[in-house]
Amino acid sequence: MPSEQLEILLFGPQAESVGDHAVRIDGIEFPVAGRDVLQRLETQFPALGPSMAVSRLAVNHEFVDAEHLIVAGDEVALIGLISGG
Amino acid sequence: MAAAQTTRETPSLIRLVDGPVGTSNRPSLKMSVPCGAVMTFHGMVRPSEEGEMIDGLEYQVYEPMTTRELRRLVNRQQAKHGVVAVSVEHSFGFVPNGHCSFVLQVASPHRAEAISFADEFISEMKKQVPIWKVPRLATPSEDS
Repeated sequence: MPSEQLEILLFGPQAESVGDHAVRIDGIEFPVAGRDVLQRLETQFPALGPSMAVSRLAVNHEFVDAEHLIVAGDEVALIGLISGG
Repeated sequence: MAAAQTTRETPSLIRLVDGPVGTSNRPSLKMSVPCGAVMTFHGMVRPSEEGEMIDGLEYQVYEPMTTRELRRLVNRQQAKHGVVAVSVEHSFGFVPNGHCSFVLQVASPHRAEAISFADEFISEMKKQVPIWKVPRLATPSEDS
C-alpha cells in the first residue's frame, strides 16, 4: 500500500510550541487509527509531548476517540490546551 | 400560556466576535415564559497571565466546530439546570487587557438556576469548547 502524508491542524499554545498551525506526518497508510496518529505526533514533535495527555483529535470538526479510523481526505485537528472564557 | 418545555432547545444566541465583546446595548433575551432572574457575566482580560504582564490575549477558534460545541453545551446545560434563555458571545482575534472577551446571559425562573448554569457552563466551556488564548506579552513603555 502506498504511504501518504497526513496534515494535522494545531491551535493556540500547541501551535506556538511547534511554530506552525499545521504539521505533517509522512508514511501514513489509510485508514489509520487516531491512537496511532497521536503516538506519531508525540514522537515526531516532542514539543507537543507535555500537552498530549490533555489533547483529543477532531476529525471533520467532531471529536473522535482513539479507535476512530481516519481516511484520506479527512480534516484532522489536535484539540488541546483549550482555554475559552 | 404554555410553559417552556425542557425537552426543546432553549432559544439561544451564540455569536463569535472579532475583537472585544461590547458590554452595553445588548439585545434582550427572548424568553418564552416570564423569568424572575436574568444574569449577565462578563469575562475580562486581566493585565497579567501566569505572572507575566500582557498587552492582551489573542483568541483562536476552529469554525464551525467552536460554534457547534458551544451550542451543544448550551443545550446540555439548559436541560440540566432548567434555564429559559441563553446568550453566549465570545471573542476571536486580539482583545486588549481590561476589555471583555466573553459575555454570558441567562434567564431562568429563579436565581438558583441562573447561578448554577453560569458556573457549570463556564467550567465545561473551558474543558470542551475549541477556543484558545495566547498571551501577547506587554511591550515595554518608553521613558519620557
